[in-house]
Amino acid sequence: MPDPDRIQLLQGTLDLLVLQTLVFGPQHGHGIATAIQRTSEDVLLVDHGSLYPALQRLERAGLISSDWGTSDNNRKARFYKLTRTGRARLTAETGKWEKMVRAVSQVLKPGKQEV
Amino acid sequence: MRLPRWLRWRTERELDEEIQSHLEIEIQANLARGLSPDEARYAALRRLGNRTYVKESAREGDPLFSIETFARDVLYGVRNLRRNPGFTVAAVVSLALGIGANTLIFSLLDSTFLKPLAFPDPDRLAVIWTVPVENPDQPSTASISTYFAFRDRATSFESVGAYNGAACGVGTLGAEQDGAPAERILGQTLSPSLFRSLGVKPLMGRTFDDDEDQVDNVAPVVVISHGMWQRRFAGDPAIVGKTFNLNRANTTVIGVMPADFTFFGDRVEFFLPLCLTGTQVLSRVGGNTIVGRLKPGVSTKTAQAEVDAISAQLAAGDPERHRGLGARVETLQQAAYRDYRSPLLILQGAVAFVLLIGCANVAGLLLARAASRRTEVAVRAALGAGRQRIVRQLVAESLPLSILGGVLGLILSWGGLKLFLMFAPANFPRLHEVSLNLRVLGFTGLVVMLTSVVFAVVPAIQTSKLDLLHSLRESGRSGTDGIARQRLRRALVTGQIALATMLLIGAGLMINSFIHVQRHDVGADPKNLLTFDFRWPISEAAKPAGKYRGVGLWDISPRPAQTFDRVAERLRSVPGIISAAAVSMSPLNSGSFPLSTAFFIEGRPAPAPNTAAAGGFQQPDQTASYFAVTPNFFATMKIPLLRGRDFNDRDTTGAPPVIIISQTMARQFFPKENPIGQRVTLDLVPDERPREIIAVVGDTVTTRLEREQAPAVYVPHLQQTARFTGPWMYFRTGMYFVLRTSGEPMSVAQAIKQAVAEIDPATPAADLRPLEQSLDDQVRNMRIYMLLLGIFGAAAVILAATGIYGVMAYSVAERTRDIGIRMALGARSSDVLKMIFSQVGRLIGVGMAIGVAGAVALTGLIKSALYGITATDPVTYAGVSLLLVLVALIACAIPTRRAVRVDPTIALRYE
Repeated sequence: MPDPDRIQLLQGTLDLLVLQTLVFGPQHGHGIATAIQRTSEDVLLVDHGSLYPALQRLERAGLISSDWGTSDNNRKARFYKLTRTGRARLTAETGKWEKMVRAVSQVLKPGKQEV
Repeated sequence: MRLPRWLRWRTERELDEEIQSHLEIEIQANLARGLSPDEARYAALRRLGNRTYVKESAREGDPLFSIETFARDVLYGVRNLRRNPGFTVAAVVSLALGIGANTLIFSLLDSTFLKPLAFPDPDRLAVIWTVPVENPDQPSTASISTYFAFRDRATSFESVGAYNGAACGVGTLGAEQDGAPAERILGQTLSPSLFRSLGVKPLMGRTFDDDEDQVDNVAPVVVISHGMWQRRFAGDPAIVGKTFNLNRANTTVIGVMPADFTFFGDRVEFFLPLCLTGTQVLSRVGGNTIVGRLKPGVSTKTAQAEVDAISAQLAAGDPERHRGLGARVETLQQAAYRDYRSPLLILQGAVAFVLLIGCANVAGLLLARAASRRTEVAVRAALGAGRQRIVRQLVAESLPLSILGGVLGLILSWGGLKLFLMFAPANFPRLHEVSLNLRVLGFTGLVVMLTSVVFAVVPAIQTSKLDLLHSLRESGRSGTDGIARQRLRRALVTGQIALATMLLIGAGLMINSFIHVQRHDVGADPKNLLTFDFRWPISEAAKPAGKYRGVGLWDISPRPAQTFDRVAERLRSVPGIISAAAVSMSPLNSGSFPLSTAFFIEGRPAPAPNTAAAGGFQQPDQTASYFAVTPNFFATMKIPLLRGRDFNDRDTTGAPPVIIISQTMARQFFPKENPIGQRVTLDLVPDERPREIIAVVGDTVTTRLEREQAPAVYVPHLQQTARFTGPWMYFRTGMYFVLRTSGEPMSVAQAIKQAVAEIDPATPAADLRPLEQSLDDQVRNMRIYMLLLGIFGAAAVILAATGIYGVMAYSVAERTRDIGIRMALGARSSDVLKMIFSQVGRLIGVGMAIGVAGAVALTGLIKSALYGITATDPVTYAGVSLLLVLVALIACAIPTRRAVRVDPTIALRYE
């Protein structure tokens, strides 16, 4: 059911958010999704179905690595953590993202004034 | 330990576990939010979405995942094959025939042209041929002076050697004291530098030095083969330094070659230096094959430029010997097997056709099956399978088919190879080395992969055009959308017919030409005729005596000729021999270029010299094959004496010179007059005197593969001149005896050998065999070529017929309802027949038209292998076309019969 207050993630941003979430330490898939949702104050809703393909993609690219571990409520879960390459990529991508956000808002602002 | 990146993939199970744990955490969270257990579960599942899809997209790009999918598709293919045994058998047999034939021919190509020669760095070995400047595609052997020039001047080569067919290379082992009779053995004469060029070392002892190969002064030394060392000397470890009687001279063994040295053929048992004489060095006649080893890094192209320059210098500086002659460099491997190149390539082309026809069959079958799988494919597409995925699946499914076909094909080719080895001519290059080695298996694997892609792609094109909705709605009903597929299948069958037509016309031409050769009258009666070669060593029978027209001149001793007469005389008294005679060249077997001589007819102007014969020497354009014979030759051979008298015992040295001419000679040069009593002078040697024609005899062939009957002259062997020219003194030192036996020829073989040994114990009766056998040997290559083309042609026709049958059966089945309606509305069987046949007729017509046009374009390639017919022989074309039409109609008959028997009520209900 579409929720007007919630925003579908832009293509490609999920990877960035996953990397950012892992900065605070290893986390399992469900934990990553919950963290993103919580940090964004429930604005960003992670599609669980596309989370795992994204994790696989990132791991194959060597940005994250994974291992089995135990979750808070004593469940076996696969934990992901940021690799050094992943950290470097995150810095680069964050910079790019901020630049883009600034540029996009720059373009959008005068448009509003003209209306 | 960190795994390399490409290994960091998940197994299906691992991923499943991970997702399972995700779901459980989510359910836990939902329960904590106060949902009921069922609700918590459903919410979690909903949030995740299609679990399989999640897993598959997570594993996309994962190598293991691709392999898994592929394996699954292959397994699915295997299940499909087991479910449709009829289809499977038809497809596998179609493929196996094509793949087997391809493997067989490739293994022959491999052993001749791909497998490197057994010498160190074989790529650097090259042959330098002599070629006429105006026709560089006619390589021939080089003269000694050409060899010397390249040996001394060419800097592209590390070393340049030569071998030649010099007569001293045919050796006679003397009779041994222990009673072993004299024996003819085969040898080869070669320069000391040839061993260096080839890079081979003797097993024991050494090879020749340069000073053992001096002109007019050859050292009496010999290098023997491993085989001879074992056979004749029982592997004597102290053989080096011992002497034996070779060509009636004591010859010292200086070396033994290793067992795997077989450059000149397996039968060569000894090697001598070149045995050059001063006159040979002066001669422009060829006979020497120059083999050089290129310096490292020098290409044949560079070497070619250099030999071109040297040839130009030679032609300018020494026109008598070198005018009009150039040189051509070719790798040794190409040169060694040049005669087999084009037949083998043509056969490889033929089997490629067979394979294509087989592939078209399988593609057709798959298309038919694709029709019944339309719904399945549509469902897959609807569930989100991309076109790429579907094509990949089709390829994977066809792979087990190709592999089955490949395995069966390999078995077929293995059996075929066994058969080929049984029937192959003994002189086929490296026959015992032909095998299904790794290279051949690799080739087969490649073919298997290619075929599986080729015939999977055709139905894939079809399927990818699929209109989803339409197919789903049709769902199994046979309706009208078969048109595109039908068109594709018809195109396939048209292609099959075209290919089969081309192949069958090629095979037909070969078969026709073989029949022609078989039926061609040899001009004599070879049945119950026995021949052997009786020959003295050159050194015993001829001495150099100057030069004549650029060719050496030799003094011939009268002693061999006297011996020939005595041998013939003695043989006549052997029981079982009806008559005996001898001739200077192998009877009916002297090859395409027998010794020929120019001649002048008394009272007529001398013909203009033929300047076109630049490769040889200037000769008047009026020549005849030259044979010297003993009396009674024609009667023994049963060559008809058309008019005049045979030679007799009084036609000897002192008597007036006489000559007998052939029918063709009489017809060509004495068309309106009686040749008997006319006088001709042969232009072979300066000493020839006018000879009186005393008879005309029937024509004989010099080989069964003769293209044109050449005029021939016969002289009494005792009336030949005391001096003889150039390399042909070989024809004076020995004769071929012909014996007509009353019973089975070989039954008197032993008696003959004994009789000959009584007269001349030092000279064996060599190559003793029935004449029919040597005639048969002449056509062995042609026979196997014809057989192979014929077998492939037959395979092509059978496969094409299967294809026609398949398409017709399918189209009739598809149109059962249509036919039913027509018949219900009053159409008669004949109308239905007309309808079906007009359809088939168009298919066959178009296919054959394309095939005939292709054949006209392609059969030019086998022109040089055809005898008695042209490459566009109308009889063959018509016969093949008729045969194909017949086969096609038979292939249609069964489905058509079914069509006209259609019961309208059943047909209308048919679904």
